[in-house]
Amino acid sequence: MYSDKGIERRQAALEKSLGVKLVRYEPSFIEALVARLDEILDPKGNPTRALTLEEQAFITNERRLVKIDFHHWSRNYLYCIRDQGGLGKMDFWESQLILLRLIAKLEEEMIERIDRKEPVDGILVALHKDRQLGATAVVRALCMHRQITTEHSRAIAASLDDDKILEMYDRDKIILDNIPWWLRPEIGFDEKAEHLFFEHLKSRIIYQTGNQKFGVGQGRQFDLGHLTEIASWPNPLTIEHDYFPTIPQSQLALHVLETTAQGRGDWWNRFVNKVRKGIAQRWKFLFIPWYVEDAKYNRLPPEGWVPTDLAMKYAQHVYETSPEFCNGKAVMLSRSKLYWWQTTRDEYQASNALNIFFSNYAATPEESFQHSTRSAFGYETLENLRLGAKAGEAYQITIEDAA
Amino acid sequence: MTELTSWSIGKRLIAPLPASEIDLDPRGILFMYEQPRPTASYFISGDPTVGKTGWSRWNRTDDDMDIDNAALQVLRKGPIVDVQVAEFAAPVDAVEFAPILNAVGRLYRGNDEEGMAPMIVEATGPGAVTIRELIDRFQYTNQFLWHYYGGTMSPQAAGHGNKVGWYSSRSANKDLWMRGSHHIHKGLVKLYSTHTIEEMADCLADSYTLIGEARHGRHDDRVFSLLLALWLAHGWSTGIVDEKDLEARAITPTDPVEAQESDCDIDEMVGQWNDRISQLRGA
Repeated sequence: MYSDKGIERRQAALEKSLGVKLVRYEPSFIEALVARLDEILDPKGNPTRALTLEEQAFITNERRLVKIDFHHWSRNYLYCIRDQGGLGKMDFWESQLILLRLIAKLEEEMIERIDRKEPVDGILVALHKDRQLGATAVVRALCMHRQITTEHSRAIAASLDDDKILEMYDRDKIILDNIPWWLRPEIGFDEKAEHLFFEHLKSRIIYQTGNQKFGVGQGRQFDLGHLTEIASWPNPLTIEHDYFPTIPQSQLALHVLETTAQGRGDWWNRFVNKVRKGIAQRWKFLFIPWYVEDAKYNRLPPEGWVPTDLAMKYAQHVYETSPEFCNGKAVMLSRSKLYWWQTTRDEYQASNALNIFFSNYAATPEESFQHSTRSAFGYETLENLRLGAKAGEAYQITIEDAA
Repeated sequence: MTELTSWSIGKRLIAPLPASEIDLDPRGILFMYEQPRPTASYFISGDPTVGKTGWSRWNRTDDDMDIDNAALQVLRKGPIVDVQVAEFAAPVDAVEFAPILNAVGRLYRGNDEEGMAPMIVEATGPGAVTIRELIDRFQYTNQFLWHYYGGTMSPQAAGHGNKVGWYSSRSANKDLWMRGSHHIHKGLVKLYSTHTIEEMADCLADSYTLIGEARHGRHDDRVFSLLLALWLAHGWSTGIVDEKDLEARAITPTDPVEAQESDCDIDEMVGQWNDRISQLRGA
């Protein structure tokens, strides 16, 4: 339901089994129909007239399409609180599309494995990111889409503490509350920031905290999982010991661990290394750097501004490292982005907090794992050295007879 | 570096590692940032460790990441800025580290008349075994001699005699750390290895011993080895360099060669230059 191939297959299978042809309406048509259907309800939510045949056909078509196509749903029916404030339709950023592309790719790989009758791991992503790039929003959307379209979905959402899971719950409620009434499933139970149960679908979502005494997810199984702020969890071993075993080896499994770095050598740093080395094989690593989203992190440079040598080195560093994180594309930072980087860096430097700056706005995962305390070598020295580093040619030293 | 070469040194073969063998674990790989040149001055350092006997990249485990690495650094001394040209780190034991040091030291012999680059190895702890292996088994004699300040003048100091290798002590390592870190902070060494740089980030300053040491669970072997190489390259045991002299050392060409007017690429130019030097030396 995330990749073109997966969606085409599911649509073809559905059309064949039902003997109908699903219609891909234009977004403007859908918008008009949604508005018309909203007018049927009175202020108390009761219908004031019966649906026409055309409206019934439209609803049936859309319910079917939404179930098999996440993008159709998110394009037409997904609302959120926007970055600039106010409620609006979700318009995914590049930073969010990077995740969606990876999920689509993993789904396609999974389909090929299923065709070959091989076991599958599901879609499990270790998402390491810079600050405020919309990761939580897009993963909440992915989870809610499955929750409201798939029967018996079992989901967990967990974060650092009560405040953070309340934020996840609130996001879920915004998504739910703004789905058209004819797509919205009936809620059976709704305990704030603890539990949501969908009556007819029999789907449920539970909210847990990383600082709870008992293990996260312990004793259950989850098709869907979303854990945030992991690098800040006081007992992250619960993720490995209690949560990982709850994930079934299934094509329905969709789990995302999401965080910004919070230091070096902690559980998240070690786990990310294990994923990148291929030791934790079920998980796929994804890093989203700060510069990928055009709409964020810009500042208009004054006329005649000339980047410092350091800024130029940094731009070169981004150009050289970005293909790994931007689908093969070498990114040349715009002047407004480079000016934002330089001035924000200088601001953090003035507070003697360059380590925090590098953690929050890293160009590479390595750069983001910073110590919370100062090294014997100054941040500026390390920064200069990092920007001048290069990969060496790799050689092995063997005994000649054995080579 | 456009072409990857292999070298045979004694029974050791230094050959490109197949791309399929390269992963995020740098241990056991010799990273070369510049291939050896016959005209350059190289300095090799080694920080041996107890390690794990028989360790190799083919039998490594996740657990042995916690074992201290034996670390080797190769520096090319420049007129002003030194350059890190090669690095190796792995939890090999003190005996197994010696042939690696021997092979790399002879590969990066540069312009050394003895055919082996000057080398400094930490003698304290397992390093004594490495040094014995280097001298007795491989005849690698171009070793750093431990000097006592004023040793020839003071009968007491002279009584200790000159010893081979670096003898770690609170006082010696404080000097090593202060000289080396000053040099690095002044931008007088060009480092290429991210592994070394990230180990530097792992180092905390100890206000009591006045040295930097790795935080709990991290390593500082590459950094310690780098400091040894700097110490050797600059002869800080016997004298210091007035930094004002550094500018005077910079060569200002009076008739500069316009590289862009030549049809040679950089590798060809270096090759031609090396050939010319060899002819002049009668090689």
